[in-house]
Amino acid sequence: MIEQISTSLIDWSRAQFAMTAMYHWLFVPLTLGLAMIMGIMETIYVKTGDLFWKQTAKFWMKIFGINFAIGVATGLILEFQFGTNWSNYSWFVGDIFGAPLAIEGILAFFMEATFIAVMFFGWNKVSKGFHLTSTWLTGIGATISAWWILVANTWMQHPVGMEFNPETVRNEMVDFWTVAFQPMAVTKFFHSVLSGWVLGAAFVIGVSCWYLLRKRHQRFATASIKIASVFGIVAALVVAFTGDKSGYEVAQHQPMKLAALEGLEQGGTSQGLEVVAGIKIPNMLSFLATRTADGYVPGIENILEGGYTMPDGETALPAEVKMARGRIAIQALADFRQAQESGDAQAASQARAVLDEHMPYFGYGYIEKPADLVPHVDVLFWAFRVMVGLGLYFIAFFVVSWFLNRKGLLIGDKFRWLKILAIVSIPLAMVAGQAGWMVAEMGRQPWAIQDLLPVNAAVSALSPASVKTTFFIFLALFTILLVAEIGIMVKAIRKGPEKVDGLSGKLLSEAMPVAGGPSSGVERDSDNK
Amino acid sequence: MQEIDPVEAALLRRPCVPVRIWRFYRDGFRAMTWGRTLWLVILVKLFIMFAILKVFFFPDFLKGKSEAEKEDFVGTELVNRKVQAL
Repeated sequence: MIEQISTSLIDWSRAQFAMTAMYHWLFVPLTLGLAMIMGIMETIYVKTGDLFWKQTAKFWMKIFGINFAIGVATGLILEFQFGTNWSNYSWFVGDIFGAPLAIEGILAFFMEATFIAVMFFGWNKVSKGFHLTSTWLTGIGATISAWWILVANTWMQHPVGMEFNPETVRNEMVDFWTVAFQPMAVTKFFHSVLSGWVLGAAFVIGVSCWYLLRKRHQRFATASIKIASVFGIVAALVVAFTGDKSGYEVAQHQPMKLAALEGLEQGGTSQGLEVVAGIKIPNMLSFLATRTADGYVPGIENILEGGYTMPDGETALPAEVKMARGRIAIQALADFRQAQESGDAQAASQARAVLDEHMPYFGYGYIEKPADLVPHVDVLFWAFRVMVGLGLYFIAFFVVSWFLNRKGLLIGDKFRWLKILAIVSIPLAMVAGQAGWMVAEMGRQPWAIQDLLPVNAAVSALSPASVKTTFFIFLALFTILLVAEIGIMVKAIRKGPEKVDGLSGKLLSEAMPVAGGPSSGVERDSDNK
Repeated sequence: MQEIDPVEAALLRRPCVPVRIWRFYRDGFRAMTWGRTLWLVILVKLFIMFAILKVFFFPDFLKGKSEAEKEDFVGTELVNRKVQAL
């Protein structure tokens, strides 16, 4: 009997997962970015003893806390969905997915949970050094969490370090280090985490500019911009560098994703990069994909037809051949299981040999026609351009913010446009991150696991109506939580930084010349713990 | 008047580590302002997630099956969903 999985079930299951992941990624990057910025600010406080920096760090910690509280555990809903909506996938990936997620849960989550308590409750109770260490370890814990999640995600894009066991119908990890540190995972980690730093920097500058527009907490605002703009420049440049590296790796392992991002139907040598429709940078795509200006980049049609030389030197197979080999692999799995059941060791061994030979194309056995191997080109084309365009915008934005702030030009009524732009840049940084994930995840369709398991084989045979129902429940829940977060956060921002013990009121809101740094009027901490 | 040994006095003043940790958290929670609202949000969210969503809407699809039954179930699913040669 051939099981029929409706496209409606697949679409709703994907939509539900995408919505949850996108919602989760509103909070995570801000957590990662703010954690670093408040760590830097508290470090300055500990080094200088200037209470102003304690006050500044405490304010951003409060904002971090609000974001953390609303965002915490939203990722668990993704894990619920793995067990319910994607049960075939969950079983098939075996311990490859389980191990990184377990490490993430045990090590990083508990690390975060422990030190976040010291960070919030420990002011004036533990030594300054221990408090500072706790602040950094909270951020490092969150970052390590991200590492393991991104390792698991990378494995789905480029499965390595495992063997498929037909007896258990699971993939088993044979090389932990290859899974954990494959180059794609390293690149994805830096690209994703530092995009969070970009959001954190944009957020701090945006909120600070709001204070400057209102002529409130001006010293606090300019000092925050000073830290965030430098931090943002570094982060945005690393994001650009790793983005380039990521593009090269995609060209090596996921050529269809690259072709779809470019809307490249027919490829060839010396390919240009289309900036927007009609404007091309000559040879740029070839250079990005092959590191040579005249390198060959396959287009969608070329990939489906095969016959070109791949980066590893082998000749690409036509999609039809891959699909046939996939069907052979699945049939071999069926034969193997039947032989095992009937105790026929020889037949089982033969089936296993056939399966092993065709396993790299296993997932193609679920593909009905070659066109199903092409992801949504229009969405990807524009998502990629939004991501890259905003990435470049943020480099310029941080440089301009840093320069104007250094010159003291953000105080007063000058450069009002930049302050408004800075506020608008907060959602823009979120849009850039979301567009990035659209590129990564929609770009690998139809695969749940590249070449091994497409979404139509990965999804559980649920009723589409039940998935649709939970989609709308989530939509309502997430909307309420988002409104709650924005409400609480806006309230905290309106209130502004609170005075800390030992700091007189005069330094809190005065405008000050910034060129000399924020410590022209220093009130030092008498607490030398 | 009898003199108190300074070490003993210090021990008397300084409670043991578990007590200090308990007091650290107790005082921290008591002193919360914004944190109270945030904890409320977290607890409501966790209740909805684990007591409602997980129980009623997200049961584990393979729940109740032994390891062998899970292998058999997923193996059959993966074989049955294969596309037939055209």
